[in-house]
Amino acid sequence: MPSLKDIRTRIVSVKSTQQITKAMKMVAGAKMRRAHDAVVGARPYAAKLETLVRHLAASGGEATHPLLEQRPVQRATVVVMTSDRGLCGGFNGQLLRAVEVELKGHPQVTYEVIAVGRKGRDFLKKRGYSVVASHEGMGGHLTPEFARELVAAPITAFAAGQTDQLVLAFSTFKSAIAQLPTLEPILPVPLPKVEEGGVAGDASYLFEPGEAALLADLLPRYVATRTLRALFESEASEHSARMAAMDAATNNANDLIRSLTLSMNRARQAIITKEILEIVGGAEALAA
Amino acid sequence: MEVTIVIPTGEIFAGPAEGVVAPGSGGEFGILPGHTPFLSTLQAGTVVVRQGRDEQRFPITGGFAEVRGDRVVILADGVAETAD
Repeated sequence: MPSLKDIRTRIVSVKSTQQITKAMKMVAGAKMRRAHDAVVGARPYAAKLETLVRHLAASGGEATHPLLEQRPVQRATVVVMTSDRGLCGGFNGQLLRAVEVELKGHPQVTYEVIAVGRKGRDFLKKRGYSVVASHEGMGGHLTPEFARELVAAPITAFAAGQTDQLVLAFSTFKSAIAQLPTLEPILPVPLPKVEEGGVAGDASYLFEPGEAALLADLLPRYVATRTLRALFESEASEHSARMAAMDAATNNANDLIRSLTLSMNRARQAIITKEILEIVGGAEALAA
Repeated sequence: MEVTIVIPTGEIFAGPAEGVVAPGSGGEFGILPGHTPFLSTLQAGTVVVRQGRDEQRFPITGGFAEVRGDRVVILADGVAETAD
C-alpha cells in the first residue's frame, strides 16, 4: 500500500496535468471557432465557382480540357492532410487508416503522397509510401495561395499524363464532436451534374475569351478552391478532435483525483486508528 | 440587378446596383441591367459598382465575372493591396 505521502504527490501531479489539458482544451476550442469561421467564409466562393463550372458544362458544346480527361488509373497522387502535433484523439489515426485502406485496395496503382502535416508524413514514410512533398507548420496560416501552390505540381503532372488521378484525403468537419475521414478525387475534375431541363437559356451564353480559354482558367482554380476548402475542413476537424480529447482527459483527471483523494483519506484514517489503538493498548498495559 | 463579389475567404460585397464595370481580360467592360448571359475572365484591376450616384471600388487581382439574368457574380482571386 502506497504511503500517504506517495498519494499526495500523485494527486499534485495529476492536478497539474489536468491544468495543462484544461488549457489545451480552451485553446483548441478558440482555434476551432476560428477555423470554423474560415470554413464558413470559404463557402460562398466555392459554391459560386461550382455553379460557374456547372453553367459552363451545361452550356458548353463539347468542352474538353486536359484536366477533364478520364484515363485508366495507373499512377495516382494523394494529398494527405493531417496535423503536425498529436494529443488530438483519433484524428490522425482515423484518417491515415482510411488512406491506407484505399492505397492497399488498389495494388495495381502506383501512389505518390503529398503530405500536409507532420503526422501523416511520418506515418506514410515509415510504411514505405513515396512521399514526394511535405508541408508542415501550416496551422493557422492557410491561404488561397498555399492551396494553389499545393496543387500546382499535381495539376501539371496530370496535364502531362504523369499521374492519372489526384485525391484529397482529409477530415470533414461534421460537428464539434464528429470528424469524417474523406477521400475526394478532384482530378480528373468531376464535372458537377448537369440538372435536366431548366438550363435551356444557357446556350446563349457569351464567352470571353472563348470557352476553351475559360475552362483552362477555371478548372485549376476550381481544383485549388476545393483543396482550400479541404484544408480548412481538416484544420477545423483537428481542433475539434483535440478539444474533445482534452475534455475527456480533463474529466479522467477529475475521476482519478477523486479516487486518489478517497484512498488518501482512507490511509490517513487507518494511521489515526492505528495510533489510537497503540495508545489505548499502552494505557491498558500500564493500568494492568 | 443583384451584384455579389466574393473572394476565396469570404464575401466582400452583396447588394443591388445599377451598373458594374469590371476589368475583363479582353478590356474593361460595363454591365447594365438586361445584359445578355455572359462569362468572362478578369485581369487585375478595379471593379466599380454603381448605386445611384455612389460608386464603390474594389481592387482585385483577377478572377471571373458571370452575368446571368439579373445577377452579376464577380469571383475575385483576391483583393489587391492598393486601390487602382
